[in-house]
Amino acid sequence: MSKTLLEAHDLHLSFRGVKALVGVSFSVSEGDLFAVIGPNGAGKTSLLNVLSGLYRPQQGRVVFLGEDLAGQSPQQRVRKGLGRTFQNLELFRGMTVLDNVKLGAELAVGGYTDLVPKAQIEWKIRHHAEEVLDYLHLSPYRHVPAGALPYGLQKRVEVARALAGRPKLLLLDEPMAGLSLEEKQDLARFLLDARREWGVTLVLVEHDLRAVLELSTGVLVMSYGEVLYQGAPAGVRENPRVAEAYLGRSA
Amino acid sequence: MDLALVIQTAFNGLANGALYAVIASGFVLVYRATSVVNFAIAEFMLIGAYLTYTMSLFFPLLLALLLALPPAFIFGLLVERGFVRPLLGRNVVAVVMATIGLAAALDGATLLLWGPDQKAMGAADVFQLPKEMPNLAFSLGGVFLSSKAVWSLVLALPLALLLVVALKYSRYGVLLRAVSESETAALAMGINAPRVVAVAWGLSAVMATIGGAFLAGAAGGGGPGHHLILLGLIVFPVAILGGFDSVPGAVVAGLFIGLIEAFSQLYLESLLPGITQAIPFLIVLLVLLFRPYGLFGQHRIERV
Repeated sequence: MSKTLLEAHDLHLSFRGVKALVGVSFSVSEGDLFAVIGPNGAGKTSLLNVLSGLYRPQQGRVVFLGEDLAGQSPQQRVRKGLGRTFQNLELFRGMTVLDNVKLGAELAVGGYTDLVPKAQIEWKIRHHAEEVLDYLHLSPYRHVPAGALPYGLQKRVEVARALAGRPKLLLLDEPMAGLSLEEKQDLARFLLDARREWGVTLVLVEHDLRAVLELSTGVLVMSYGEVLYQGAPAGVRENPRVAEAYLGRSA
Repeated sequence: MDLALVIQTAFNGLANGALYAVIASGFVLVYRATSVVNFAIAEFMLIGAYLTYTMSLFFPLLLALLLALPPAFIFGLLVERGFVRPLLGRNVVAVVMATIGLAAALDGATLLLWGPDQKAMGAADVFQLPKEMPNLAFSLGGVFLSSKAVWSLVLALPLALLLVVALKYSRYGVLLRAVSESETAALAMGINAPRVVAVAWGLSAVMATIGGAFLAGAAGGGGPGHHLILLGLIVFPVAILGGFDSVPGAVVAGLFIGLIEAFSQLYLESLLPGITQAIPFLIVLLVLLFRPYGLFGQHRIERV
């Protein structure tokens, strides 16, 4: 068994009576491609927001690398190696692709807040960013403002920016949503390559059941904030609760 | 037409405009970083001017102005911490109301602390030391420039330009732009967004202090008093003309409105008394009608 990287214990989150998470527990091991799936409103994004520290759960713990993350701000968690991307693109739209990725790369190289740029660090950051751009075939667009790119490429830039920070674990919120089949395949390949090349563990929130089942090593199925199924992807389709909630009761 | 008079008017207009530019660029900085319209910006100015005045009771004016900057910065931080951060993520109207309320509260607080009378910068101080700003007034070929105008041009204008350059090239400028584009993403990059936002508020208060101190006559011409609040309203036309979210825009618009005011004072005021005060707002009306994103603002495409 490989090392456990991320554990969630009995997470509860509600917004004024609307229960977003009800006792969610799971664990992700190093090297996993862990998929979180479920219909709309199942609490997938809420779960990611709890993991990355944007929401504070009313109950439960998140343990990353053996350390309880309670009370740690989103930016502290990111610096520990817990990166994420967003469902609705959160790029720095006015900045170029390169500047976006460079801000991501600062996480890996060591960000700094000096008033004046330092040539040596800037060089390292640039080098690092270019490597990721190259890897994701984004180099031709490096000087284009991120907001001016087509949607599929923006999605890829966001993944590049997150990968440039060399996270130990990357939370991806519906990276495939809205992409064409070809773009989905490309992105899936990039993610698998990144996992192999940099040893990034991936947690993927997805709507598209099929894409996920082919890729993942472990699956968590949610509905209305509850865990319906956790285990190997092969078992998802056979699970009666999943079939009922996700695929609809068969007539 | 008297050429010397035109040149003199132009310089005076630019000088006043430079002060508008400094204040407005601080105002726009806050808007960019936090999307909060700070309706208390005129009070920021007023407090900055009063702080300078109070310091000037003990120190020479130039030093007094410098010494007023750290407390002004802290004041900006406190406002952010106390009024703005608790309302983050709430309805925009809530934040707007908070800053309007803050403006009213600060009006009262300054009245309590400094009294209703107009102070005189450079009146007798505690130690009877010379403490006025060095007099930089000069006259060349019939063009006379007041000390205030020269100080504004040599101090305020470079300062505003420095902010523009720093925002574009400095590390902190990059972080600030990142936070202004998407705070969520900035957090996901490990950027300490709350601190960046706080610094933007502090800087805004510093800029307002420098602009306010000179508008209130740190280098001659009047003294701090509540009339500054009316003067401070000019920030809104300047910011709107500049595009509201563009710091370079605010600088250009500040200079432009300063020029317009000066020439209106020279040529139009005798025909239409009071027109000078109205002109900036007339310009804003036209801008909003024909170019709602101002001179340099982002063209925002909103999906409905």
